[in-house]
Amino acid sequence: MNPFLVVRATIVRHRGTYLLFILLVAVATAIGVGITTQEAALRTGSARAADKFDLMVAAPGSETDVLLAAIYLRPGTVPLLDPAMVGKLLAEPRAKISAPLGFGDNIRGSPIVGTVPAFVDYLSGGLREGRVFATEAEAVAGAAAPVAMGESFHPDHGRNPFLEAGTGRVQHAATLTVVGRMQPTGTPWDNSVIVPIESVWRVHGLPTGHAENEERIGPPFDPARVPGVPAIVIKPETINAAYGLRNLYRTPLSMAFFPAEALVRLYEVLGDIRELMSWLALATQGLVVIAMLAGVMAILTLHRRQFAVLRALGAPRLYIFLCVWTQIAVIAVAGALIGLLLGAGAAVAVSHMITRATGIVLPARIGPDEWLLVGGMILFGLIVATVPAFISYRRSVIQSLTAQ
Amino acid sequence: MNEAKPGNPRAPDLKIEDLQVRYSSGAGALTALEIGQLSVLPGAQLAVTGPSGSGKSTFLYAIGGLLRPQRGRVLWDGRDILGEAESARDRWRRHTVGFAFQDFHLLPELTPLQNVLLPASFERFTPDRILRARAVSLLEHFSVPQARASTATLSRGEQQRVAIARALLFDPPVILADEPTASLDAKAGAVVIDILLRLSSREGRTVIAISHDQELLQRFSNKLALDHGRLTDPQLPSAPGTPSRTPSGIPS
Repeated sequence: MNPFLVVRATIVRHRGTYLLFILLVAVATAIGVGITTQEAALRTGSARAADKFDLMVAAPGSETDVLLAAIYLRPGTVPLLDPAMVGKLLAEPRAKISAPLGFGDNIRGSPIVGTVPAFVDYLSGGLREGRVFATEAEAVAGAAAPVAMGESFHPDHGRNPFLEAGTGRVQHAATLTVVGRMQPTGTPWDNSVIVPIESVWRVHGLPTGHAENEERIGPPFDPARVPGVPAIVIKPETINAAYGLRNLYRTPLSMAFFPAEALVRLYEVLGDIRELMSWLALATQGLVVIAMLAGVMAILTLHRRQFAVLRALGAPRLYIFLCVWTQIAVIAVAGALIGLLLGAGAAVAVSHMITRATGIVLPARIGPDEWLLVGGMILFGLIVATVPAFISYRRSVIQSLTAQ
Repeated sequence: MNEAKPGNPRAPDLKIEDLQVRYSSGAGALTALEIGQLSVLPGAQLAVTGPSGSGKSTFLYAIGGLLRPQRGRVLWDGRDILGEAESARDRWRRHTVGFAFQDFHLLPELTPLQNVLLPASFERFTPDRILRARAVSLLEHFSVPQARASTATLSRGEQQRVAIARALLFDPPVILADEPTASLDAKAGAVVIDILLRLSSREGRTVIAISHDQELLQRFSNKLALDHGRLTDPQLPSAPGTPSRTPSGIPS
């Protein structure tokens, strides 16, 4: 049996309508695929960005605010950690790296972040070119930061001068020279310029952590001469040390947390939203399939006589069933596959936009969830298709032939 | 083409015994057909006429095995078609009966050749070489221009010839035609009548046509008239709408 001749003829005759059905199914599928792909990408991308931030210590407050400021480099006010705590943390023997983070300036809109040389190396996994800064006047550019190797510049005060309405542009007198560039990390840090923490402290008139006349940068710091910082990233020696340090720095003056854990809590909220949107997408898909079904039924009524004629010409009932079923199957399969491409395309486009805006690389990928969704859509279509197929299968030949 | 002689033993003889078909309607059951005894010899050419609603179509579909009667039997070579299972009837119909309709019922999106080969798709995925060759020769025989990609661009007369070629694909010994000339002009209608008569006289097929067409009625050698589902004498005008003897051949 080969119902495709009849199926083709019917689809060609009603090509406008069938195209519309396919598009409806495609859009409904694309919405579902887009949501799940994007959510997964957001999860993977943000988790990857937090990878190198093992343990964070900051002033008591919102962990989310600290995450946004320190890992994702979003402008925002975070209370400063008490200088005494900073001094203690920077001298912490169980930390392989204890990196203070200092913000406040920018160059061409890219944040300038102050920290210690060891953290630059750790974050970048080795520089792409040049070397890590060795004096207060040197800087390392993120892979995508808008400064050139060897370029000298004066930092602009503020996180983004264009956002601080009413304040004029204030340029610091200090000159920084780019001496190295990091490898791409897929994080917002790619867009940043990293300088010695002493440099940030000095331009803001704060003690630099070293003796007055000392030019040296990096640890060890003089605990009596460190100012407060928004956050300190700790890379502990061991996992045991990580938990020990977290407990140790949960004090009235400081909070300590694993960013990975904080993200999991955020993902729970994200997951709830996704759940809700997935249900909405699923409901849309169901409605689209039902709408398509109603349309196909209307078309089939027009073809009632034609199917009866096929029966008169000797077509078995199963042939009629297959003609109807195949038509709907074509719509479901074509629509779902086109929808998969559309959804993936939309997710990639949105990911690009987010990467451009935040620096977080979001890997939008079609995974098992998306195939499951598309497969489910196809399966649903194929099952639902049996209803009109069965109605046509059962329809009386003689009544259809004699109907005027 | 099959060049069988008249009286081809392949054509089965038709016997109707005590047949009654009733349709249920809103007002209750309606008797559509009631035939006590009727015998049609193999290779006959039979025209059935009667006013609208006289049961002509029901008669045609009953002998074509398309309905289940309330009572009685339709015997083709003694085989009670209406009593058989649906799948067996489908197979029997495919190979024994060729149907032609007033409105052709071709698929205009397909080529003439694809239309003729359509019944082959009821059995297998692609038609074999023999069927394909047969379809081509049928179209040639009926002078249908095959170069046309679309059946929709054919004239109505050509379209009916494609439909008859489709009916003949499996070389069935019986041809049933439902008002085969009613939507054609006189000239195209005459060609179709020639073809139907030749299928009987030259090839020995049983050809049964229901029609209002005076020319068809005059040229078929056997005639039956139906009125209110019962057989009447075709020579007597029995009800309004019975064909009058005008020579025009235009359907009334």
